[in-house]
Amino acid sequence: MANIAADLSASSSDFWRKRSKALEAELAEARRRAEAADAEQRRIADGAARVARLKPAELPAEIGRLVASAGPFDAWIVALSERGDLRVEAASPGAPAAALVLDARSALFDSFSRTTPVSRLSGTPPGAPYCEDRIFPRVGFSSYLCLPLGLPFASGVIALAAHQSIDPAAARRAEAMAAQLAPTIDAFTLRREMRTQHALVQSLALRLYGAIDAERARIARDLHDDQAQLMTAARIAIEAPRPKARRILREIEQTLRTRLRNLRPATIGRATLKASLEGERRRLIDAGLEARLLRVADARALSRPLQNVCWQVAREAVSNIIRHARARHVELSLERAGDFVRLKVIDDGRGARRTRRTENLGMGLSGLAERVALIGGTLRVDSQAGGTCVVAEIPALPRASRGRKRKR
Amino acid sequence: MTEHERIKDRIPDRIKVLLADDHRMVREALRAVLEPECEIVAEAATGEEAVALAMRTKPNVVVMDIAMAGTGGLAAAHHIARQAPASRELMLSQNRETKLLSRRKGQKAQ
Repeated sequence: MANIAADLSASSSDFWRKRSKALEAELAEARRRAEAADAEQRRIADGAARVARLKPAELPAEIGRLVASAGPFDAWIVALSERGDLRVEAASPGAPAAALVLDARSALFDSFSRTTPVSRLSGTPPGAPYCEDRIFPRVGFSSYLCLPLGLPFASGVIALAAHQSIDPAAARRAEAMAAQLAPTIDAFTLRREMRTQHALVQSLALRLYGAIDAERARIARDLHDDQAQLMTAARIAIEAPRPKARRILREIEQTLRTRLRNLRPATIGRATLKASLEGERRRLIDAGLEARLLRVADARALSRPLQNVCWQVAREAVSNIIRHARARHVELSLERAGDFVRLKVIDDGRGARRTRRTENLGMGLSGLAERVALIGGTLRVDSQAGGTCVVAEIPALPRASRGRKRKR
Repeated sequence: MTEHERIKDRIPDRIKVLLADDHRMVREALRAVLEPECEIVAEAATGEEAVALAMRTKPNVVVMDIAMAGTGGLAAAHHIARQAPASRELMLSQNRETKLLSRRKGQKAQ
């Protein structure tokens, strides 16, 4: 018993000495770790601050370098989204080609589309039966770490790859860095998106003004060629004997009225699109053709200008058929196809000579092709000996919401 | 024979006129004005037509628009002057006041 006590007391002092030493070491280690964590925090914050000040063109590469500096990685790739598509913006030397990593079967693409990290840190064993990623192992990287960039918006993705295993701590550091950079990356892609949209709006506006100017030029030309000559005729006619002069002036007045009426834009007014298309069918029947109106989709939800364009296309196609096609049967249809409305006018006439391209369409249809293109749609005319098929596909922009006024 | 008589001798009872203008209403107006005095022998809508018809109908006067589709009025007038020297051309222009030039005056001016 005493022996044990002596032993205890002896070992006790020994124990406490050892214990204090261990505690000291532990403390030092904890302090070291805290300092390292602090340094890492500072590094991340500094990096994020630096990136936020960069010029847009330098940003993707700097993001890649910064996140990759979290550990020893052999290659990195930064891909950001642009108008919904993923595009490689920057890559380290030795990274696999863009076409490869944007493959739908790549971990990079997977990570982007699911906005979740996709990784294999411990390396792919040789001859592994299954691997999530079909790309990196193929080009010599056994381990990889793909991190979505920018949240809440899925702005992009970074892939980090190594020939050997990746240290999980390095992976965590990389993830922390990527998270810290998220707002900057979101801001970058959103700003770029905005610029693209702005450029698009501008180019559309320019085309619109171009179209307006072209139309004005056409009207001016018509006025010059026709109205000015009519004025000349009137000036000459007043020198003629009364009855003749009166007859000619009346005829001139009549012509002027017709021309002016033709200048007024054609609209469906307050009629429904269905009724207007029915009117076109009637016009065909009155011209002695057999015409059917198939599948008229409910068009009331479409904006009025859009309904107008649909009808204008139909009207022009019908006019062409009556004037030139020598057709016997005509089919008109309007259908919804996803986000588009598709208007079809098909006849069994002799077809026009060279109408595949829009420049060769009748003046009316090529003007309409321009109009349809302006609102983001397409107008195709397929014409062969067996008939002509006019197809307009127009994005179905909903009627501008006027909440209170809408009935239902 | 006095100068007056000589000229009178050359002028037929009814002057034969060829109208050349690409606009139907202008031709009709000219016809309405001229018909009481003249005989309208033909109407042309283009310069080429005017030249061809002038050869055939041998008018005393051609009333022609300067700006016409195809061969313009001036070129047509030149042709007619060379091939039917008896004809006189009256040029009509929209650009300024309607003006009438005889071929000789026109040539002098050039």
